Amino acid sequence: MKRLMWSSLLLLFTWGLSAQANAIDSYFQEYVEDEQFTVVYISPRVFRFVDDLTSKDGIEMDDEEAQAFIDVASDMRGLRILSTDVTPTKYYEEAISKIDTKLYETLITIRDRDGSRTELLLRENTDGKLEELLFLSHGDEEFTLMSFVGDLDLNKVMKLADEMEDDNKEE
Amino acid sequence: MDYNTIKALLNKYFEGESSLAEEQQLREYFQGEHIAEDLRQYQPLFGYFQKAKQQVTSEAFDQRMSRPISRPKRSLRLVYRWAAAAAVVLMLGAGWFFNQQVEDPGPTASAIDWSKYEPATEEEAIELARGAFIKTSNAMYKGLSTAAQEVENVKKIMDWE
Repeated sequence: MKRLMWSSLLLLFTWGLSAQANAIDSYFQEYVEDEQFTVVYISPRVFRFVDDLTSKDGIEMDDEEAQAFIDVASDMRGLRILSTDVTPTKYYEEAISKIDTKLYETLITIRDRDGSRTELLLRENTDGKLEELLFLSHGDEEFTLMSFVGDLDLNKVMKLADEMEDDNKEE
Repeated sequence: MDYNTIKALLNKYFEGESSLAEEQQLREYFQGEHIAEDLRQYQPLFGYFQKAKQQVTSEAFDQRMSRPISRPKRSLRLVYRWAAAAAVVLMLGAGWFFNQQVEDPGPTASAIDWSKYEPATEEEAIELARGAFIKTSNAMYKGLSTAAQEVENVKKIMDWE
């Protein structure tokens, strides 16, 4: 009986941990309400069926790329995209300054010669598991903010990039 | 003890006015051998003590008698068990409720109804997701390969020196 109590307590505790909101809910609500932003949300339901859907007609992918995509997608619990073509640089600066650097760790920062910038940030849970991957980028034309929620495997993400690179070489 | 005295005592007894000593007298009489014929009908009233004394209980009966003593204990434990189970269920329920609250935390995030931003079709959703993944993985690729390139460059410079 004691063990049951403890395990249920533990369950509650881990529930509490897993129930953290994503960065957009935490920092960028005003962007979602802003008419200038395009907002897209892709629910976990879609990723659960990604296997069946990619085999349907209308989505063209070669097998290896499709497999790499499915591998990444199967770990996903939600994807949120915000983008705007209005004052991208201003929004980028603002967004970067809003993110709590205690929670989010910078993975990659890219600054191109044309002034465009891309930043990848990670949030891990207390077990060191990846909870969220944040993508921010801006160029002259667009500011994009993407939040991938889920236990993403970065190796799988890299694999997808590899497949894409191979395609580009072949073309 | 003569018949008339007993008769008088019985009358007092039925009136409810007999004393304890008088009732004892009646008991002694009815437990005795010589009981007047017309008074025999009252014997069971006063003879029960004697009978109870003579009764011998069987072992099985003794066991049965002792069982109700242990049973309440067991059923009490059962009550605790149910109470604990109920508590666990309650806690899980509370946890679930709390969880709902946190995932959709109060006035701040409930303002975002994400479902209305979902693409109309699943194909479209997949296409968008694919685009998002590709952007991200390209950024990673670019970042890491540039980093690797730089490391190579640094190595070269070191070799030159």
